[in-house]
Formats: sequence, C-alpha cells, structure tokens
Amino acid sequence: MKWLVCVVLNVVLLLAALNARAELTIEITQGVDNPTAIAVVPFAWQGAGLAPEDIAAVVDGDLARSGQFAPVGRADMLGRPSTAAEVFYRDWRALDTEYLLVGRVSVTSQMRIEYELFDVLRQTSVYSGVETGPVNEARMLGHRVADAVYEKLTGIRGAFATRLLYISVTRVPGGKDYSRLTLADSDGARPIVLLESREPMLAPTWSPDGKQIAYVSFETSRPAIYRQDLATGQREQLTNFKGLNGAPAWSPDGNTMAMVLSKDGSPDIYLMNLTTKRLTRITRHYAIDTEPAWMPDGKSLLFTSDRGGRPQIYRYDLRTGAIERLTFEGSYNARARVAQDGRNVVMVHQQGGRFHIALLDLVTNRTQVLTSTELDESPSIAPNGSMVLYATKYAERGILAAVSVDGGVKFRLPAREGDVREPAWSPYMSR
Amino acid sequence: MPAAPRIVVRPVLATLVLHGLMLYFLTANWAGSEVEVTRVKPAPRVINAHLVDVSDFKPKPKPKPVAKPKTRTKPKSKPRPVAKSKPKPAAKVKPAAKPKPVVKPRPKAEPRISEQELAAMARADLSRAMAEEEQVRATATAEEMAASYAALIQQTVVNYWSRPPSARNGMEALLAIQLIPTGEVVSVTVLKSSGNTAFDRSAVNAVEKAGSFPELQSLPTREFEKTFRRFRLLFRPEDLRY
Repeated sequence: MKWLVCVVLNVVLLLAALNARAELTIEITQGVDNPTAIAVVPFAWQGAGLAPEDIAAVVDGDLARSGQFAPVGRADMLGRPSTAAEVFYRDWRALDTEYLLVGRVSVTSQMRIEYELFDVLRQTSVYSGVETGPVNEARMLGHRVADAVYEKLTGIRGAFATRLLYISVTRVPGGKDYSRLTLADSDGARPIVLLESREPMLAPTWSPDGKQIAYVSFETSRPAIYRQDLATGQREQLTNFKGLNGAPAWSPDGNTMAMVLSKDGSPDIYLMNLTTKRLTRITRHYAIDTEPAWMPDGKSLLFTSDRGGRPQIYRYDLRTGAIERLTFEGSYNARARVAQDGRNVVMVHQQGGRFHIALLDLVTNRTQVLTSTELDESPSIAPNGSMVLYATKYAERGILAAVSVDGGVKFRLPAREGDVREPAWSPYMSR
Repeated sequence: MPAAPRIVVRPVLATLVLHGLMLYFLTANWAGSEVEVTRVKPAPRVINAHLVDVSDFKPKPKPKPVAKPKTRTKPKSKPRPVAKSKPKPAAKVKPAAKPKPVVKPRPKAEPRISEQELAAMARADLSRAMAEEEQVRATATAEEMAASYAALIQQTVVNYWSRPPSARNGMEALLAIQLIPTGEVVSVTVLKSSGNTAFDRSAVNAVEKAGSFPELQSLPTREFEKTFRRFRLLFRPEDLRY
C-alpha cells in the first residue's frame, strides 16, 4: 500500500500548490507631491565663544527655498541631537518629520562640518559627510551641505553652492545713476560689488567654468563687451565696434563667445573666437537678431528676432546654418535661456499685455507661464534646472524673484537698495 | 508466473492514478490561476467605480445599505419604529421631532411599555439587519470585496506619496507589503527598484507614512489572509509633467 501513500502525498502537495495564489498587486499611478518634512537641528559648535555662522540656518533656508522641503521650526524640536547616538526617532516621528539632519562644527585652521542625515520613518542613517574650508567661506560650506542633502533626497544635484551676478542701480535725483555689478551667494547673501560706474552696465554672464564673467559697460561712453577674471579681477575689453555691442554668451566649451553687433547695419549675431578674437557673422537679416543663448550641446544657438514682425525665439543650427522658429504661442517671446537638460527653455512671454516668465518645453512644444507678476524680465535658470531667477517690479522698485520650473514655488530675494536687474545664475562652481 | 502480472499491475495502476490526478490538478490549477489573473486585472476598474463609496462610507464599501447598520445600529432602528408604530418614538422625543403635534398626546400614553417594546423592536431590527447583512455579505463576491479594499489601500497610499523632482513618468518600483489583521503595516521591502533611490524611498515612505489600514479589520479573516496578509504595490507615476 506504499503507492497509496505516495498518491495521497502527491494530492496533498498539489493542493498546497493550488493554495499558493498569485499575489494581489495594487498599482499607484498618482501622488500628491507635498514638500518633504525635514528637521535641520542647529549644528553643535565645538569651540569657544559663539559659532562664526549658524550653518544649520543656511541649510534650512536653502531647503525651504527649493520648495521641495518643509523644514521643522526650531521651537518645535523636542531635542537638539548632534550625533547619531543622541537621536531619539520617536521625538521626530511625533513631529511628522521624515528626515533629520544633525551636525557638528569645529574650527582649527579651517572650519570642519560633520553632518549626518537620518530617515526617521525607517530609523536609519541615510548619508553622512564632512565639509571643510576657510572660516570666511562658512556660508558656502553650509550651501554645500544643503547640496548634498538635496541630492540625496531628491535625486537631483543641488545648486545652492552657486552664485549670482546682477546689476543694481541707485537713482541719483538730478544726476547720473550709480550702477553696480554685484556678485552674491545663491541666496542673495554676501553681496560683493565687482564694478561701480556712473555709466550703465548690462547683460552680465558667466563662463562655463564659473571663473570668468562678461558684461557690457558704457564706461567708454559707448557700449563695449568686457570679460573679467573673478579671482584676479583682471579685465579685458573684447569689443569696441560702432553701434551696438551686446548680449555676450559663452559657448559651453568656453572657447567662443556669441554676441550681438550692429557694426554691419542691423543688429545680428556674431561668434568671437576668444583666443584669436576673430569674428564670424552667423545671422544676416535686416530685422533685429539679438539675445543669443547656447544649447548645452553647443551645436545650436537660440536667439530672439523680429523677422516675423514680432519678437520670437529662433534656433540657429551651427552645422547646417538652418534657422528655425521655435515659438508660436503669443505675440512676444524673447530672451531665451536653456536649462542644462536642453529641454526646458525659459523666456519672457507676453500675455494679455503683461510680461511674464514662461517655460517652453522643446520636446512637447508646450508653453507654460510661470509667474503672475507683470513686467518680469531677464530669466536665468539654475544649473540644476530647478529654479528660475528673474527681475521684476515690486513696490515701484526693481527686485529679484525666483520661481520653480513647475511654477509651484515663488519667492523674492532680499531687497537691496536701488533697482536690481539682469540676474545671471552661475554654473556649478568647482571647489 | 501468476505473481508477475500482479507486480506489473500495481505500479501501472499507481502511475495511471498518479498521472491522472496530476493531469487533473494541473489543468484545474491552470484554470484556477487564470481566474486569479483576471481577478487581479479588473481590480483597477472596479476600484474606480467604488472609489467614492469607499471614501464616503468607510466601514463597508459594497453593501451600502447594510453596511451602515453594522456600525451605527441606532440610526437604523430609530427610523423603523416610526414607520411601524407611532407611539414608540414618543420615548425618544428627539427622533420624533417632526410630528410636533403628535408629541403632545404621547406623554399621556404609557411611555414605559413603549420603551420596552422599542428595545425589543430595536433588538429585532438589529438581528434582522445583521441577518440581512450576512446575506448580502455572502452574495457580495469575494472579488468585489477585495477590489474595494484594494481601492481603499490605493487611495490612502496615493495621498501619502510625495514624489521627488527626479521622478519621471514610467518609472516603476515594486514593493512587497505585509500586514497584520489590525491593518498595520509590519514590513515594506523593495522587490524591484526603479533605479532611482530617491524614487524608491518616496514609495516606501508613502507606505510607512500611511502606517496602517484599520479599515481592513472589518474584512473577514479568510479574505484578509487570502489577499491582504501580503500583497504588492506597484508605484508607476502617470501624472507627472514628464
């Protein structure tokens, strides 16, 4: 009767197999995308006296301004841990915090910041790192910590440890205005005046390595393009042509500069080889061609032209010389700037008589208006493509404002004296 | 010699029976698994149909009319006495607020008796409601029930899912979830990563933040064990900008 036993066993096994069912799979295809709650605990200062800089506040501010994080207020914190051993996850879970950042700051010859990021829900350490640098660069070190946290949690490189260039103008009643070319941190802090003049300055721009800048200055009573080394302060005048000299734009490889010159008649786009200073004219049209902007691959340029009657964005292919119109929505689209992904283009877009900043998606060809203020101008996109800085008017003054590329987050940069205009966001800075 | 055929016959019989059974169960199994697959597939469709019901009437998604009495027996029993015999609501002046002129004569009628009667009626009502519910529960197919609760889980997780900016439409992260009968999540593991750690983490956090699905407590144990003890969540965004 052994075989019978075998049969019974087989039957049992088969029944067991029958019981093992396909597991239910539930699909989640939507979400709500709320900002992530993070607690940035004040970093412990391991030195005498007061800490030279509140690093945690810098990180906190950066993350909050990105719009993707909702930092927990310090007053709500139930503890001030600075090491992994001091972290009680329950305290932070009670605040509905998803992540927790703690750190320690010390100064010997250099400032040293050690920090660690924790996942409160899973009660694990996500990332830990160290930043070192000169004490007077403390804020920049804080921005670097914010960059690391941002990249870890969003999957996108952070752009807080970058800088801004802008022109501020102080009105002098009955006299000539003061113009200042200013360099500041990405949060508007630590402004440094690079150049001061009673003649206008325009169109500041960055070299792709972030070490040089170029701008237009009227200091010789007519517009000329200059480039300046940030470390040495050394200046070089690149153009001195009759008529318009403007809108310099470095090529992504750093060897060529696109610019607008009107020396041969109407304003057209030219390329200057920065080593030989030789010029190549790339557009020839009786209409105005201006505001060149390079595509990140360096193979084509966008520019504004009113050859169709109204200003619109066109693309010039450097290999074929073909020119193609890109914008068809609205009667005014100008001053394009391309994100590093080569897909998102920000520009000034007129809608209902007002000037807004709009985003043009080069793949879908959809235009999305990002701002709701009027008289918005000079958009400049962050190197990670997440935020757009632009100039606008607020309380009769020119100020800088920023908006996220999805239009969800808007904020104004701290107001300074005078009118602020023409911001230029730097590329990623090498250390 | 006569023994030889017997030796042959037995194993032959055994193999025949075994193979026959194998074939039968295999085919049965195939049919069964097919049913399983179709059952999983239509779930999203049913989900959409039931979504509103589920959120509106948390305790019971499908058998609406019966689901209410289970958790709230009182509101059910109140209106019924009104329909049956008017004197009863007199005891409870509140529900009988509508027929004001009727309220006055009521106190004269003996409230004690009517109260006892009311209690009896309520009890009878309750048992009837429960019987009814039992019936509906039996008729409500297991699939529909599972689909409704799946919809509930889905909606809860959606409300907690905050995608990182690096998320793109079409990314896929498959998670394995384990629940205990209280509806509490006891384990979340990534079965198939999307390749983007921030995206995976956002998916796990959505489940962790949801924490538990207490509504599953009202699910019969058998259904719970069958479908929700362990299940999978596929995170595949479709509503992002790109």
